[in-house]
Amino acid sequence: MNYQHAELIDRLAASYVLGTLRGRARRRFEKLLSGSIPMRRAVQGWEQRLFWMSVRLAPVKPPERVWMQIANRIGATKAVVAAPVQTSHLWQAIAATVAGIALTLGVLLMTREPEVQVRVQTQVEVQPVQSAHTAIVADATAPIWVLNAYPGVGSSAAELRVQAVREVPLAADRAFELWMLSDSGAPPVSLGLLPRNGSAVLPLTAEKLRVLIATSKIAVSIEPAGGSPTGAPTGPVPYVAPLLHIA
Amino acid sequence: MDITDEARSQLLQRCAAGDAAALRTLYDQVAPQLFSILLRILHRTDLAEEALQEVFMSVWRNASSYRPGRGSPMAWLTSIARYRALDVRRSLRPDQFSGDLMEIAQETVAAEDTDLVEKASLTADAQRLENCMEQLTPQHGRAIRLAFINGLTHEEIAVRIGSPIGTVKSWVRRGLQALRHCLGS
Repeated sequence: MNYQHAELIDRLAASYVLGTLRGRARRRFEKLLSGSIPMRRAVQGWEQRLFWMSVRLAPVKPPERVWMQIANRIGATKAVVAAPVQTSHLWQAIAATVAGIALTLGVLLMTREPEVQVRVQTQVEVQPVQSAHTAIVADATAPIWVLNAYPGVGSSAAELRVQAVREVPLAADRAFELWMLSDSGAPPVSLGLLPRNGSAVLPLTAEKLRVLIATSKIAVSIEPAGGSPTGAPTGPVPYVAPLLHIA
Repeated sequence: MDITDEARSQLLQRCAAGDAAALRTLYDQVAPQLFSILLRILHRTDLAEEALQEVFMSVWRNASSYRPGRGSPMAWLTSIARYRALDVRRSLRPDQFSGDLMEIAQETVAAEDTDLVEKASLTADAQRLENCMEQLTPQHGRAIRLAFINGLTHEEIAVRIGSPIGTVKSWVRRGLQALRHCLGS
């Protein structure tokens, strides 16, 4: 089948967007879509034309638990997820009135402007040291690792705590290695090997902590067991995640 | 893009930068619309809730791939929700889905024309599509709505309408052509 044919592309794009293109044909079309600009453009055109049909549907408010699960998964707010009902009401009230609230893992709410910090007391226990740098590595379905970096306090060294949420399949002679990606094109810096299950603490040298604070993306590569032999990623990179800097 | 689009586009940019508060604001604005879309296709509240969660995880992860130049943020969000719902429907065994084809088809009868927002309250762009839909023959229009809104396959539409599948396919194809002609490129 000649997928370059403009009219055919347009017809397939229309069926794809409408949803009547199903089964193997749909999957085949999806595969071709990522590599074809004309196909993507045709799909976007139909999405833009047809989506107005659904604005006629009366909105239905989803239960609050849906947001709580999302918040939990993106690691935005332990307080909202774990705290009793009052906290979520409080959160809703604040969210409705204050623009741009950053909510840390604990209970620290900060307004962006003016520069005022608002501490909200809840029943949630306050962590003595809060991670200001956090990331969730996930695939299309669910989180795999949750990462929290803790700057050293006093004599204790900085560290990156990693929790494997679930185990993803990997050959026995391979390992997942974590990297910090640079925005400026500098080579990735290894943070160490990720645990397949359970948790691990990866030490952060002062130099690595300095890089981490300025890093906005992390990546996971598949390396030989023991880690990359070259100091740079050598295998496929199945996961990339944003590193969030809170507060 | 109107002001709402502009604001949502900025929210998506903030999501791409890892701003969870922006995701919450976007959620408050569009989740009820997307939830309604998911419910129409999936029928079951539990499936729709799960799908809504996945939709927002996908928005969170892929916000950087949204380009304002590619159209309204709502078209992008609606597409993510609809494709997700179609995937869920496809992955379900018939016994996990409420009833057989005939039952599903009958369930959608009630849903077909109820809970619709008044046409007069729609934006100009939405009214433009409605006007074009009204120019289609009733069968063409109905087949397209059953596919887009209710997520029905050609086969399910055929069962629902009581027409041969070949006829339904041709209605859908001709209806889409007519819409394209009416709406222009």
